[in-house]
Amino acid sequence: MILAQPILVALLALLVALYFARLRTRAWDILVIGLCFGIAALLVVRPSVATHLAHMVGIGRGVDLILYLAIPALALLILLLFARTRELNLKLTAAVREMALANPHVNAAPDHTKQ
Amino acid sequence: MEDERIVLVIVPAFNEGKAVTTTVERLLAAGHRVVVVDDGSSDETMEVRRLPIVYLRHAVNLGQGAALETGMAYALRAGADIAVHFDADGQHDCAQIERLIAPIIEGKADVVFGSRFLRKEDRARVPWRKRILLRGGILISWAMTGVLLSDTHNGFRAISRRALERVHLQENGFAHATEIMQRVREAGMRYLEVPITITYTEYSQRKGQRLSGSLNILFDLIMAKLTK
Repeated sequence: MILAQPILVALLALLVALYFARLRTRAWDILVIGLCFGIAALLVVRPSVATHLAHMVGIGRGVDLILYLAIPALALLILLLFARTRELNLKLTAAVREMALANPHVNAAPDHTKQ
Repeated sequence: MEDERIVLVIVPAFNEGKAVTTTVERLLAAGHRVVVVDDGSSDETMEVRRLPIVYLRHAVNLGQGAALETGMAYALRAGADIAVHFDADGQHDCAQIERLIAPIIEGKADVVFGSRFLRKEDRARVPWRKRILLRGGILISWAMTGVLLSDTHNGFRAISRRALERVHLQENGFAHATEIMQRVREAGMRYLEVPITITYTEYSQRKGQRLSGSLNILFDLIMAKLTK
């Protein structure tokens, strides 16, 4: 085992711990994140697995396979972050709207009530 | 034609300067009841408050769709029978409001969309670059909502109380023009288009949509679909 391997596995474990401490703790998340962590740790400890998988799909190096898989994964992450931002934006809009509706400036009081 | 129904004209405004005051003065002179939704302007838009209107202000800028939704929420709470969307930049003609709301009063529609492409003379007034942009918008809106209108991004619309209760916009930006079609269809509202004339001024042209704005609308619509 080379020195980089335990460091990378420790970093991965730290990321997972931070994720659960700060973000989500639902059963589905635990399963997905646990699976991702397991695969990532395996690829760090046994790089030959990545190389073998790469050869199976016609890619020369294991590291290239990981890079290609990381691109859609990052795109998905951006989409999830965007969804979260959109959710926050909806809440902000609702708050700003209620403030506006609670404080209407009515000049010369036009009659908007039914006769 | 209006009988005793309450018609509120909603004017969304963001940094419209003196133009919004001129537009509102015309509406008031024509006897309309006006609600201006100031979408967090930092210029003299606020001056419009001195007129006999209802003035609502967003603490921060949210976008035209959000301002219209705020206006519609106010109209609903104020007991309005019909709400009319009316641009602040002076390109809409208040004399055409009666024509716009007529199908609602006659019970023929819940939502009426103004269109500048139904009559040859109105079509001829649209600058060719804008015409291309708008045609593209019509096709995209059709593909995304299943509703085919002749003039999707026309801000001159009339909404009945029945539709005010059921149609709520979530798109804060200009994508609301496509979203409203989808919401109207989902809510099972009856809709139709009536011909209207747009007056393009140098000011309204400057404030109007550009290609970059259209791309933003497309991006918002796609992201809304993906993150629904």
